[in-house]
Amino acid sequence: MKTTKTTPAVPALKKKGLKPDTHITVLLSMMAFVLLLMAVLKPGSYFTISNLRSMIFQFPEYGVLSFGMMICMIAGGIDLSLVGIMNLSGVAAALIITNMGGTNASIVLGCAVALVVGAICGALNGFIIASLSIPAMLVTLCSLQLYTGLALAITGGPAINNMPDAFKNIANGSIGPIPYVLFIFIAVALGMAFIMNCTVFGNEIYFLGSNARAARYSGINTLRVTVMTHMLSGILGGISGILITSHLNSAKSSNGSTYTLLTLLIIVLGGVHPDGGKGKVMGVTLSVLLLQLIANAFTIMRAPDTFKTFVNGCLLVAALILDVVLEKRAAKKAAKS
Amino acid sequence: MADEVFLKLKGIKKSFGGVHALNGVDLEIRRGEIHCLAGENGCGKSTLIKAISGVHRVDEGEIWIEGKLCNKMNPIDAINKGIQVIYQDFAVFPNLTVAENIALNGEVKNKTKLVNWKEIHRVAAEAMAQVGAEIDPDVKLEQLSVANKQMVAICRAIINDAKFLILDEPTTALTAREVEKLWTVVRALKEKGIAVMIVNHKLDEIYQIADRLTILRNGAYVSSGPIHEYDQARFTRDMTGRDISQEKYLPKASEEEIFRVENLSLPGAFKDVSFSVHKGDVLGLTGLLGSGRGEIGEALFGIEPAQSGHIYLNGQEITIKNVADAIHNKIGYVPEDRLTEGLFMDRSILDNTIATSIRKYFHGIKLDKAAMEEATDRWIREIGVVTPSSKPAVRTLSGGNAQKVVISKWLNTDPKLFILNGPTVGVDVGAKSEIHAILRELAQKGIGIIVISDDLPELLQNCNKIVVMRDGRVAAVVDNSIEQKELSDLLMGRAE
Repeated sequence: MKTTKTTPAVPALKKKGLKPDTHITVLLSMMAFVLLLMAVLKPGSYFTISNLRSMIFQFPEYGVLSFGMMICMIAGGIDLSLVGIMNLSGVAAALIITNMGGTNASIVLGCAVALVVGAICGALNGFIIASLSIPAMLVTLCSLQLYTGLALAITGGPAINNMPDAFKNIANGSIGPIPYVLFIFIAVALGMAFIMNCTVFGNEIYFLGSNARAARYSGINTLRVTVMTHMLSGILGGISGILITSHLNSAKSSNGSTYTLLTLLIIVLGGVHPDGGKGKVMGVTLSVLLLQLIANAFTIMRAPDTFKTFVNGCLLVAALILDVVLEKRAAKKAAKS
Repeated sequence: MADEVFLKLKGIKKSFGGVHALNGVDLEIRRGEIHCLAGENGCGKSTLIKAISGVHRVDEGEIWIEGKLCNKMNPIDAINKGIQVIYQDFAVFPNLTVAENIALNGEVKNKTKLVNWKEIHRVAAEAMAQVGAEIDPDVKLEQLSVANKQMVAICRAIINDAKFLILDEPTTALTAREVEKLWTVVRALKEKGIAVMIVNHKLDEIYQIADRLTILRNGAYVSSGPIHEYDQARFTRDMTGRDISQEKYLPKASEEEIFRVENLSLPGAFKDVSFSVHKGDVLGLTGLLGSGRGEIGEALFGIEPAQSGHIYLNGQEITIKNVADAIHNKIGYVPEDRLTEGLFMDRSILDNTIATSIRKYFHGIKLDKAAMEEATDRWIREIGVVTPSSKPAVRTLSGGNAQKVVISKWLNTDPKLFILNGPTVGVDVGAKSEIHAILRELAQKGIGIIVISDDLPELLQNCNKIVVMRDGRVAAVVDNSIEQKELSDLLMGRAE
């Protein structure tokens, strides 16, 4: 039994070149390093169920956002308006839910509207970028103002609070010890991995980001792919909007304002190339977890927040340098074969 | 005899990882000679240049310069010994003036702290006088033509007491006239006793200029000798390791029409263009730059569609308004600029091969990766792409191999009409003839083939029918029995 199973597996592995990705190895070892360090420094308070739970409650909202940023960057662009989309969707959902009296039906409708708002905002970004060939950075920088301003105009300034318990439960509740949001994050990550690896659309995102001109000459509808990419990014923004509104029991235009730079840090650390065409869901997922481990370590150590920013900065610089070094090594290896 | 030799290489070996880029290369450069280094892409020419100029250190073998063993040179040592390389991109500074470009190197080298503008102009003028170049010293480099940029690069090289100048494929971007001018300069350098090595693989150009020739193949030395010892057959044989047929393509005439255009027009590009492709035809489409030859290809592929006229494929009239229409009607197009339009350089051969046909691998809910791999492996074998697997990035392939990947990409869509714009530009002799063989085979299978090119010998050898464009109109349709001279006259409008 055993031999029949293993023999065909070995050549298949070789053929597919499933050797461990260097970048992922690096991320995993960094995570192991943080865990080891904390095991030595604070074994009592770091490795507890309650600490683990507190971590899980935190990362999914910006983790989901990071996937949106990821696909836009792989497609050769960027989405700086994600936080704006997140808050606008959150405000839309909160408005519907509170105005409809917080029934379960209103929650379902509110969440659906959040996703639709996200999709529309994203599609608008994508359409402007692709149809007028304006750089994504400019378009989304402007639309960040647009969406944030719209959310602000709708709420008139103060946050929408007093969400119903069932809604608050989305980001704060759990099944046994496991928070719901972990399942949501895992579902999003698996869904993204499937899209990027197993669908035509995912491959077209990579093609577009690698060489937009060649993509056009290969018959790829670059307008459609750009719109769809930003639309998906917008939907992910909508999911984040639901999560953050539920988590904070508040929808307003200025929630999560640090997330834009944080998500950029995450995806670059996760191996997404700023020039487009390169990046993996696995890398971004690990990067989200790594940053959460580090952030949590700082909290446990009661280290000042200011120092955390410095460490994040170091990580980003290290990731950039590492990328170049790894690329050079890969080029040498390629010259070999 | 010995002091006549400037540079002598013996058994040079250099490997990167496990691959032998150079596997025993001998080379002898004599003072004041013009030496050609020829070989197919990927034969180790660039590595050899880098070894001579101190960029790469050789693993084995001996480098003798003026009778001294110099195995451990760095680039500065090489320059101090009088070795100068002019790469294809010239490494000039586009935002500086001609005079600055020529003289600044020297200023830096002499460790001058302050810039002496008078001196810079004097040095630049002197260098230009030496090679007989006449360029305004105060013009910025970016405003110059390719040929003049090259002149500036040559001037800059010779002010540093160059004894040996290496030109890496100097003629690729030059017009015939500019090439003539370049040869005049090279001969002037030779008169001054400077040895010049020219990397080139166009035999007619080599005949014009070279005294001696060295041919490499697969990183190894093949042969060397005075130019008169080489005829076309020996040259090709030494380059490729086999005999390549020069036989003209003469298919059996067929009545079966595959493709036809009638009165195709696009204002500003071409007007009233009509021609047809029958089964077995390889149609050549030629003309000077600006004659509309390229625009017709782009129009038929929907990049810049024609505004009026009729297009028939296999008897059916079709409309092409965009690329999607073209692909829907099974028209494939190999663009002129392979690097920016044809390929995803950082992606694998597999990705590039299935880029256009990816939809057919989407079964049920996911892509069938195994089928994608199988198809790619099949094309690698059938088209003859030299690669260990479908995994390497296309960036690592030579020009000919990369072009075969572009062709595979389209063949994987089962095209009915296949348009190739400059299919063999930058492709070496061996791969070139392989690509021609593929096209003939496809034509025999009933796929319409249109080759857009300005390489007249290539057209005459491979196309049984040639449409000559002039000023946006069809000037003539000829078969390949005419002489190259006649065809060239037709292009220029010197004959009817």
